[in-house]
Amino acid sequence: MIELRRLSKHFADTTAVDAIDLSIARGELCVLVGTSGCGKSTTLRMINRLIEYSEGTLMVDGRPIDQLDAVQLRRRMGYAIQSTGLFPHWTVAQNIGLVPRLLKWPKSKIAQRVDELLNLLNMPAREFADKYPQQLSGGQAQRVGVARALAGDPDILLMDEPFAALDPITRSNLQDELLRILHQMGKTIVFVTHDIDEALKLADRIVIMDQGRIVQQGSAHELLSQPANEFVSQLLGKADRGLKQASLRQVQERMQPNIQGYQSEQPSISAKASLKQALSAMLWHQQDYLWVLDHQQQPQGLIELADIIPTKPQHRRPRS
Amino acid sequence: MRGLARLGPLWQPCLLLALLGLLVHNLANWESLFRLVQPDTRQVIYSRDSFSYLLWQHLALVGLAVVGSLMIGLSAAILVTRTRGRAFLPLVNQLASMGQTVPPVAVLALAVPVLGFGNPATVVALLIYGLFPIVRNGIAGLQGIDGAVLESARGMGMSAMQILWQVELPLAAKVILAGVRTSTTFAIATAAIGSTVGARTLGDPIISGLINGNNAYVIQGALLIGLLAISLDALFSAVDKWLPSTH
Repeated sequence: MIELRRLSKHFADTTAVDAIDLSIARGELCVLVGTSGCGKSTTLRMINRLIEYSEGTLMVDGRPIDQLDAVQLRRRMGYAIQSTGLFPHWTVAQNIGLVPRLLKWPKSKIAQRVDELLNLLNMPAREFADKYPQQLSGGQAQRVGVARALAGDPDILLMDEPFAALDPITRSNLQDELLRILHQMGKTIVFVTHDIDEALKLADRIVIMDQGRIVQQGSAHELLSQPANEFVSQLLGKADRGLKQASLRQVQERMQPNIQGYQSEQPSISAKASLKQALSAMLWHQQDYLWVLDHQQQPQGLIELADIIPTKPQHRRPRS
Repeated sequence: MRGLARLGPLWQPCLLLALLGLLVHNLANWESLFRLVQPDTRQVIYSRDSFSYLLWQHLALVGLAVVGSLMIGLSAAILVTRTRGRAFLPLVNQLASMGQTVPPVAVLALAVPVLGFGNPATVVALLIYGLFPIVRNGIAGLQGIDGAVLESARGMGMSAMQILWQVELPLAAKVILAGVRTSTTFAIATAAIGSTVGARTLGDPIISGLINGNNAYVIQGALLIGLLAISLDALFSAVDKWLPSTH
């Protein structure tokens, strides 16, 4: 869907992006991660031609983008940024309806689309459609920013640290909502962040960049189990790596389907919770097992510490 | 007062304009009042032209000049805030400041040999004098727009023209309006000087009164000019309140 081949961007005397190769498949959520100045935002902005690249090729749907009209190209790609960039003189509904208006949709279809998106993002249209951006909280404004990016029903969504300015709880909620929406819609997404936890949570594929180059790319598991170099393992948070990996797996993958002796007053955990949460609960209750419950609070099985750390005999601590 | 309140921010300029209308039409009837200022003069009411005629003349000159300043000044401000015109930004800033430092009398004196006596020379002088606040506020308004707003406008696929008309100008409107307001006030005051080169304005009674030592004429002219300036200023203030806040 999006193909970058030996793509470079030189500014006056610096190279922001240095001959990177990257191909992003249809429906993939690809997250570019790195420290500030690593070229991740520049890369993103070259895809919708807010920045023109210096060398290489960049193809969207098999067509080099320099042969496409920049304005038309951007209308086919949603774009959401950290500071939202909502138009302060337009209502929420007008802001969201921007791209459909540019695409000359009929009025009734635009109104319907705006309502649909607001409801999708848990912002009742009746309450929010006529508000102005300055009347919204940070999280609400960011939702509107995402809704605006989705409004024209683009195949591709470009997101530049959209949640970076939010508090951790709002951020986490919006990440969950983004994942829910994307699973419904099947968009191709390029997402830029400096937050490795956000990348681990959202990404189908993580692309780690440093000094304008791609250092490593792969799934969260691949990166955590085999970091390519010191920079990557540092970025992944060396000491927390085990916990980060545990946060990627759900309890239901490791539980035993055994509910003998279940007592509802004993510590339990949701089947959808991560192994990290299970470990935390075990530490909290000072107990090496938890009952696993489904979303209706019915017992499904049991998870023991040994299920989370299934050590092979040679890795056990030798006892005399 | 409830009826006035319903007019919202407009009640103040409406009241002032009504007062202006009242004065323009009735000043001639208040001879006894002006007799107090000028007891020994035979004629105490300026009568070469009617006050209403002079008022319309004055307004027309100011209107033409301000519209001209706005068109030229705003175009210049837009041009120098585009990527391609940015090189001219300091030059335009300097030219506009120079326009402000040259006294309007001097501009008038220079314009007369080219445009002749009368209205055209006056309009040109007012236009040049009024350019500065509009250019300065135009540039400030356009440059003061949040970069993220412009970035997202571009990223959403708005064309340069759409961004200018739908985003930049509306967001700069308040600041631009403040420039037009200053420029208009200048022009109303300065237009009176046009009377020295043969334009018909509310300055006529003032000039005539100064020449003939008739203070009643001076007061009549000054009163109307002052009231006109205050009324239009109040009108601008009402428009400013009516524009949606952008911050």
